[in-house]
Amino acid sequence: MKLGSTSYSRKLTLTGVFFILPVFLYFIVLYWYPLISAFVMSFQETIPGLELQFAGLKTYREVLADEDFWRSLVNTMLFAVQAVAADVLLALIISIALYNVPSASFRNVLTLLFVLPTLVSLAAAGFIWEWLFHPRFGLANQLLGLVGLPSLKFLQDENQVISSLAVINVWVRVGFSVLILLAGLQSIPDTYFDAAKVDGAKGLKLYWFITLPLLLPHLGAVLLLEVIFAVKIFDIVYVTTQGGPAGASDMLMLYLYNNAFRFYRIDKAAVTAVFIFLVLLAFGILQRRLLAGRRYEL
Amino acid sequence: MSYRRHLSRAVLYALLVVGVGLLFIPIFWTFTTSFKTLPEINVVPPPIFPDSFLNFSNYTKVFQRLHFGRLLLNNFAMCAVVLAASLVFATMTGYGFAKFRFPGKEIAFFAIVGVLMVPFQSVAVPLFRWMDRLRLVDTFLGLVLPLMISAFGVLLMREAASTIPNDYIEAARIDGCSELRIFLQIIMPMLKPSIAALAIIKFMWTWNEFFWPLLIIMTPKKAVVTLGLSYLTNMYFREYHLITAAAILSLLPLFLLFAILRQWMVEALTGTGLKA
Repeated sequence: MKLGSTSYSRKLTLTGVFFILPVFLYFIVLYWYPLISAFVMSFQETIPGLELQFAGLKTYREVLADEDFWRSLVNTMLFAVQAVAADVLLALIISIALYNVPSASFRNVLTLLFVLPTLVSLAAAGFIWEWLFHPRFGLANQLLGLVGLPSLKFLQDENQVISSLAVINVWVRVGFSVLILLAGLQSIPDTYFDAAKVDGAKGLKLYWFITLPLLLPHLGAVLLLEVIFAVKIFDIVYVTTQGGPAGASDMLMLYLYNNAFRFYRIDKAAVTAVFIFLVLLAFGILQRRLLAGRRYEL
Repeated sequence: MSYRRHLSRAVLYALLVVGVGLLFIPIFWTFTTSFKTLPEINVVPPPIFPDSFLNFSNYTKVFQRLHFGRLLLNNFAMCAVVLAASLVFATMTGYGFAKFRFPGKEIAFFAIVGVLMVPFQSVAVPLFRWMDRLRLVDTFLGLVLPLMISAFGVLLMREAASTIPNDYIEAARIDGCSELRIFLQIIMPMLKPSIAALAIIKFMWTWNEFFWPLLIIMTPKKAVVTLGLSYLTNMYFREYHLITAAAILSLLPLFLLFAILRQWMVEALTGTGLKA
């Protein structure tokens, strides 16, 4: 067979198609078709016998008039803001501190230790922290007592539950954010710092004017990743509070799950699914813009 | 100057050590609690250490009550199937996108990468109904099917494959090597580092997966470890001495893997660790 002949190039085309076709079909069948189904179902309503029939925007109106939906949306937003802000801030401090450790091997060991909690599943993390947060026998209140602070009820108090969940989320995620920010810091060429030092910048000024602006793409990436992650919070809430007390930790994904599998309101679950998809799509597009051309864009 | 430098270094180390310490308290506390008896955990103030670190009764209880051995086995089986499938298919597809031209390539690429923007929970309900119709609810196949291939893996492998020089492939073709052999004997070995990274990440995600098992598994014996944890709770009472033992068992495999593959895991997480 001669290189460049028509039958040869046809063979190459077929080979290429052969390589990608299984996965292409897989995603059509297992993701795109169900996504379209979710859209279709969101324009239907559940009728007796758990059948679905076309209902136009009726289910949308019903969900938008549902207090539970709004409460879970507000809770999810409150949770995301707290969890992401704490995560990014802590990760920034930790990664800058790690970056300044002079010995590379010591830095590596410390980094490994910071990453370890990232390996814990969200479900296990939920249980681990529920025990720490136990109002009577938990370690958290003991430690608070040691430094003279009053006891808290954490997950069992309407006003503390969302912040408590945020703490759990940060515990799992911060190591991961540290890794990305540390990689970002290490990718900044030393010449920037040297030049700034020659110009007389030092201390915090150096960080404010040199490090942070150069780290901005990485910070943006972490921020969006964590927002997307936080909006999808489910596992932690499911194993700890189940949305309680009194709905104070109801989240969007829990609302979706409960409607689909507890109340058999698949139509309302579908509307929620579409809503979450559109919200995360917006964040996803932003993220891809920000990350364009970066190593971990993947 | 040098004094100030020493001081700032001391502050830096103190900060980092305290940070690591705080981060480790939950794991430490879970570990010690898992060796305590019920009376030991219901005391104020709680003792830091258990009476005996040889008290494995919580662990044996977890194994008895939850069929935990079975759950571990299920989880490993799930990871094995998911890993094998995702590595083979992601490498194939990534290579296909990196090195071949065919009509409709852009559309196909979007259909695969676009999945990254679809939260799994948004498709979970229709997917579940479909699995129900195919009688795959509460089956192993139903459990692994939607987790088997990740779009993220395809992207990772495409990027890795595109760095392979075309000359290698051309030379093999001129020597009469079949396309399948080129893929298996030339491309796969060259992609080993990326395959390893994907394997690590995929294992971690699959091991910790909770949402889909929660939906699709009905029989406790068919559950995976994360799901098994939630079986230890009921409405009125939570046996934390057992829950902590189960939690320790659930994170042991990943921690062991981490102990062996430290640097690999850090690189895999840094370079690729995002599941949008």
